[in-house]
Amino acid sequence: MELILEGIAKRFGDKEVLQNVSYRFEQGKIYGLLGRNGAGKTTLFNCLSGELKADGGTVTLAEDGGAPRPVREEDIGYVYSLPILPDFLTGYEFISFFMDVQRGKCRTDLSVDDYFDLMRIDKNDRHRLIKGYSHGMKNKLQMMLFLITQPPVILLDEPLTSFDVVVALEMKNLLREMKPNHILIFSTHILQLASDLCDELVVLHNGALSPVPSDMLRDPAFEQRIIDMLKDESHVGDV
Amino acid sequence: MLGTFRTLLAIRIASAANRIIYYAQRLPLIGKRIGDDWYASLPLKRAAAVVALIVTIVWGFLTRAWYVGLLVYTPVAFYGDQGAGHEKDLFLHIFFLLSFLVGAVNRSEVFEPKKEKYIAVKLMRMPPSRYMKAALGYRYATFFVFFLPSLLLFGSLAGLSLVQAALLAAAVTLWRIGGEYAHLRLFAKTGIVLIRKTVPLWIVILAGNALAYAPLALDWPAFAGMIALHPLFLILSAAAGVYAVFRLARYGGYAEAVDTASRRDEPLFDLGRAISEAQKADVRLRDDDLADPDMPAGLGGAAPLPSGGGYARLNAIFFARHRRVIARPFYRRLAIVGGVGAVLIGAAVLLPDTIGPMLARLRLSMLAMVFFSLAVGERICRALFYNCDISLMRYGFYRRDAAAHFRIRLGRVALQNAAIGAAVCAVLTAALLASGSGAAGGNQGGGPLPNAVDIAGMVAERIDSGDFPSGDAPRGDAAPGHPLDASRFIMLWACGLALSVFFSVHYLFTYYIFQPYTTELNAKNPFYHIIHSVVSGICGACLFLRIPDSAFTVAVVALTALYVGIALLLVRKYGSRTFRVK
Repeated sequence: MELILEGIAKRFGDKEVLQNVSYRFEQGKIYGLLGRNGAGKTTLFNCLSGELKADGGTVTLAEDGGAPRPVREEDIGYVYSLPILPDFLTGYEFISFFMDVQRGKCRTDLSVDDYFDLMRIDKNDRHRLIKGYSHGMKNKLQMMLFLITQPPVILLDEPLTSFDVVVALEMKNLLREMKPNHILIFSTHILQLASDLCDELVVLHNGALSPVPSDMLRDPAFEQRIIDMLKDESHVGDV
Repeated sequence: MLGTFRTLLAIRIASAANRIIYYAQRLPLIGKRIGDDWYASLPLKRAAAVVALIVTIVWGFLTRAWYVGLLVYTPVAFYGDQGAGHEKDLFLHIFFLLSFLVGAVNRSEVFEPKKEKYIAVKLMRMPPSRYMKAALGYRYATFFVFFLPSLLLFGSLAGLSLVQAALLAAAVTLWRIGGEYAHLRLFAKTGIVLIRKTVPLWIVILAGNALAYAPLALDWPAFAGMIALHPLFLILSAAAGVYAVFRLARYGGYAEAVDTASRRDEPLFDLGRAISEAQKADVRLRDDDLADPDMPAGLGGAAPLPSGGGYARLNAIFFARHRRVIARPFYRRLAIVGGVGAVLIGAAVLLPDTIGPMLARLRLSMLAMVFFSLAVGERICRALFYNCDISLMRYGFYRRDAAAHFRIRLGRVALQNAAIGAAVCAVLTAALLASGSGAAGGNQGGGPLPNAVDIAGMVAERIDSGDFPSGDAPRGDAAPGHPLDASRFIMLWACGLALSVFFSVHYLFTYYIFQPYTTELNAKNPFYHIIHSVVSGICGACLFLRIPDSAFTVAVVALTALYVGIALLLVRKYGSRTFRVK
């Protein structure tokens, strides 16, 4: 399975945020999307998820052996950097509601409690209001939605930034477990996390995507080279 | 003072010019040609400043023409079938109550929180007295100039001579300067800023408006019209105005007053944010909302989860846990209807000869405004957005299923509005019967008040005998004891229930299709504002238009059925695209 971006463009007023973004993302890999503040990472995610309409270009999904087809909204799971969930429900009520309305799209052999067990969420916490959940708990709940519906592409916007070390490790392990069946793309500012977790790095700079050679990931001067690259005003195609 | 005045004007014109560039960028076709570099280009900025100055002046004249023309003259013209003399009195009556009374109480240049005040006094460190004197000079010089043409035009249409219209413009300006000084004196003596005292302010606004328009609906005399141009009142206005001008010129306490007015802005810096915070707080879920016995086991309560699944359960939980936000306005409205109803029914029983003819003159079309004011909907939509939809709208499945949750919510909101509507109809039915029965000898003025059972009995008795108040009788003809007509009650109830459903679907439909709220909760979509203004305008016009009850009932029932059908169709078709976070 491949997610194929061809010529994605988006501008806000005079500012051309994405210019002819083209890339192929493959199943079974975790991609790290790097870019400076305002580079357009969230805009790119919003265009992929259908939150924003791109000004030009196509996004298609080529499933094994099949011809590419346009991406549908349900193909994309989007984990927001600030998890936005209905505060007035308990975690259990929310997941149960989600499974109700997604009936037919989720596995029937697992119950609500089974999913909570998978995410290692304590029995008492399941019946607490989401309003009182920590940031990490809310993020786990968001991730749980994608465990249930298994969308082929999962976008994660700065997902591990504010986790404590224990939750961050749990989430990293979860992403690694999910990797074989999905295309996982996550944006981050933290180079350490990117090099540690990702199979490939992609840099969004001057409105275009460029791959970072995989041997550079293991280069001791990796961090400095990425920073030099992001500071460079010229295009990064020559990395 | 002239220098200060120029600085003030420069600030106003510069911000207006920036606004013009900002909105011009959003215009179709030409918008794309206007870049951000326009803000920095001096010649372009000067051109925009000239446009801004012209727009400001034209706007000043237009708003006064809009006010005098639409709020004062139009109702008079609609009503004007009783001779020119009566039109003149009515015009003066409405203008006096709205501009001399309500305007003087709820407007004060000194205490109005404005960004400009903050910028001039707090940021630019302009002395408050210099700023305030220049601002007051500008306000009241333009007040007279902007009002004069509107009063000359609409006043003469209503039967005033040009001299009388000019005198009225001068009198209202001087009176309002007097009012400005009175606001300052009240603050100096007691520390009270009257324009921030919500309860007395709203009492004056509501009572002033009710008294202003009462002669149109109820054939009351236009009593205030006699005061406005009375020589004694003109002398009093002139004396108050001139005295106030001298006192305001020498006033030494502007610093405290301006500080009070701009302090409100300071912590939040801009009023827009203060308003959005207040709106959020208004519908925000509080901890004590959740500490109730309806919480499921494990949350301190013992109630089982509501039955059903999916959206039905989600909405059941939402409405149960937002009872304070959702149900309080509903009960408050019921209480208002109950209170007003008790007074009306009491008056109808005790004074049937006075109340009977008054009730007989009520037209069903007046209910449009009553239901528009009483219907719940806007606050529920705001609560739904802020506490539920703002998070779930992010998910594609929730947007795709917009039609499913729209139908469930429409049922809920319509049920609340139908209950309020039924209360209004019950009150009117009882009042009509009580006043009718007084003259018919069923329940004489001095006798005991009928209780609910008596009234129900009277209704049954009269339905059996076909003895009901006449519906479409000409004005003034219907009187207590006139043969009563069952069809009027059927039309009343049909109208009431249809209007309840109409406003329920109206609020929810505009919410789903225009989704006007931003994450800051201020409504941004201009179409949403336009549609609501048009609907409120039509409701206002229905107060004065003489639409026969039968035609109005048929129109309302048909329109409601059509609106429900169109809303269900459009939400199903476009909801997934329109129901999202902007």
